[in-house]
Amino acid sequence: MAALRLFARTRLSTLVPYYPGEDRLPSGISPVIDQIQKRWGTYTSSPKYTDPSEYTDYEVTKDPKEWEYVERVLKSKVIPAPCLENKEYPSGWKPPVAKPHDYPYYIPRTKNYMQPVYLEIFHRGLRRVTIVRKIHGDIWTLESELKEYIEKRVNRPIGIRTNELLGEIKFRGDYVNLVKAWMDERGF
Amino acid sequence: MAGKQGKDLALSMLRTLPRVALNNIRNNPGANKPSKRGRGQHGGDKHGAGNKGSGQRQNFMRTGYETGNNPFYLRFSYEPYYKGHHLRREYPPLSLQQLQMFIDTNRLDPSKPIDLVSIVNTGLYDFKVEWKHAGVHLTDEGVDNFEAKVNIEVQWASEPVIAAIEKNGGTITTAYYDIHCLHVIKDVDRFFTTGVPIPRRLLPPSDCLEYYMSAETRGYLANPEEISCERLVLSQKYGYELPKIEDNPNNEMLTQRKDPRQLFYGLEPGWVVSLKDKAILKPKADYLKEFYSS
Amino acid sequence: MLTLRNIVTKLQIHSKQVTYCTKAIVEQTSPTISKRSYEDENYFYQRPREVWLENIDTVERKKLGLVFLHPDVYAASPRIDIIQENVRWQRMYRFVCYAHTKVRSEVRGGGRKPWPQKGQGRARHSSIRSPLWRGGGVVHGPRSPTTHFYMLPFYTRVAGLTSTLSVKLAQDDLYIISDLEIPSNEPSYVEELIEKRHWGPSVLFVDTDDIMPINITEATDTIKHVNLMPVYGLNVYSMLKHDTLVLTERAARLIEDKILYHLHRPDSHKLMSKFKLNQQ
Repeated sequence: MAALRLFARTRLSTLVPYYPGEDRLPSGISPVIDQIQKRWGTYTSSPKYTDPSEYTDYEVTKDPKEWEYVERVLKSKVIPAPCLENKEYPSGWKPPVAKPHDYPYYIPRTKNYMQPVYLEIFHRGLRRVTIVRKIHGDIWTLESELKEYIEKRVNRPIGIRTNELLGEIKFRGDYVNLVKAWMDERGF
Repeated sequence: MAGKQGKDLALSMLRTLPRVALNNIRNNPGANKPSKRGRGQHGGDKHGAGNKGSGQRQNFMRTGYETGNNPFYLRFSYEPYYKGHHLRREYPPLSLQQLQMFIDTNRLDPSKPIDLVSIVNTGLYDFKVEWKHAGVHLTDEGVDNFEAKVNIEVQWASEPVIAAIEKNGGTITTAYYDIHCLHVIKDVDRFFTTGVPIPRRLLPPSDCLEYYMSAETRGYLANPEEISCERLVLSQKYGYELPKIEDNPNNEMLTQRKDPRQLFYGLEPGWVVSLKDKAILKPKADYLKEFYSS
Repeated sequence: MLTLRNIVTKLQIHSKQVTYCTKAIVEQTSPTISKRSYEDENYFYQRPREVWLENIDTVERKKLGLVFLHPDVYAASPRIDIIQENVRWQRMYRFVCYAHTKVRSEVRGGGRKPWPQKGQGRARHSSIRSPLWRGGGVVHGPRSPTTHFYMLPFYTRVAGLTSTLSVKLAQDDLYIISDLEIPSNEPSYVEELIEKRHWGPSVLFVDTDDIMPINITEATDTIKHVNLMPVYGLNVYSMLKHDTLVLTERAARLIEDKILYHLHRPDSHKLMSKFKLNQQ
């Protein structure tokens, strides 16, 4: 077990600085000590745990109820799965409904169960790019469908860059909400 | 139905291509831009140093010197722009919309009290102690759609936010955490491995003591009777019927509060948690018990 | 047309008939189908990768069963650019360049002004070791020692591992064996095995622990191109250097678990920040 830092408060370990050149006071007169509190940084530089009587007394408890509180405070190693019931959630979050092979393409959720649509802003707001990631399957049909959907609502042509290997489509402009609405319709 | 697409197509293509080895891989075109020396018309010639003078001769005048007149940096003797900045705290915002999203996607458990520790442990909210961040500021974005019944403890909340939470039958408290406790909360797993006893929370400094003692802001040091009075006041102001906590089956959870000196629910300051042995070490000495519970 | 999976499941159900019909594999027990259920298995677009589980006890190849592997790890996008970045990083982060040139102040001599400033009709100079002179100092030359340390972002390194594993599997260079127990400790056994099974001349065996069975350790000790590696030492460079990658079944599962943990961890935000030394 690692050395405990329950040192008795009354006995602070102190270093008495000795400056060469200064004469030591003659014995009998107590010097004014500038107390420097010592803190140990590493295992090798810290003193070893000696006789338990030098340290304050403690009791070891293994109460499962108290340990529950400890577990509550620790981080979980896994992202908890959400409820996948297809109902209305107050925040506007929708669970993924579509199965992988419902459409010629498929867009799974990110590890946080969110839709993989992002907005990147460059050049101090002059350039905005909407990115749709994690696309599986026929990316070209998806691209044409999205292009039609967005251009119809926006009434102007849009620049698109598709990368089949990555499964990524980039739209020139801020169409994040439109893309997410399209995905909600499909159930992605 | 189309054939293989995307990744599967790429992987099946690789079956016909030579073995990927150290001698036939390269990066995307344009990834490595070799640094070019300035030569000739662009970047070269005088290499950005101009003509004659101290600039080209690399013998510059000292920084800030304005060739004799009283320089800008000496004109003003007192510029107190950042005075006391190290004492001013910031509260990175967390909107009610985000909070509702966390609850809907099961990242936060509304059946247990929510405090700064649980919000940080979701991994979706972060704060930097070195930037003088002191906790969560619950903002009113998404106040209209908020429907969760929670017992939440934040560091700063405005009136509409408090009203929204209490309207849905929850409770909200504002509490203060000092810097040492914030360092502990940032990474609790790591803190437990150090073997340092759980610290006790310090009282808020004078500039925010009033905030945490007033019932209007649901401060953790305020009088509970005043708080229940203020709950009624808010319900009348915002026009909703105040749900009775006593009738609620979750009453115990909703009224669970931490002691002003307590950092974690259920764990007292002064205890040392040993994760390896799954045990808690508690000090026996009276003076220590007194110190930690004072 | 019966798919492989149907054949195997039918084998399991009608095992008695199998032992009657197929005398050649009478000694073999029923095939081990190693299949795991994943949390995100409902969201798979790609099929889990099926790899034969083989033996290494005999030189001849025996199929002991099937292993189903997660597509995010073993069928990831084969990003050659990420693989190259990983290889370059592995080479460069510990590389120290010892090339050194002397600056004009370090070159021997050159303290005195060679000739007076004016009157000679010659160009003015203050030292015979200035960079203009032959034998003079070098201006922006290499200065030893120069480190080329940098850290590739965490998830680029994870992607490098998944890409390389997927590439190896796609190009039939990934084999899964049950364990690393071989009957003899002679190097010739291993060489014969590799030859017989048409594994590439260089093979990398990967197991979970760093202490491997004695026979395989002794057999591969003298062969330089056949190496043993624990899972924690798995890296892109080694996987590409060796033609064939042979994983034990538990090593394949451990790699899968570890990579999936990193792909699905809630505190990944910290890992994506800029790398700093002495960072607590």
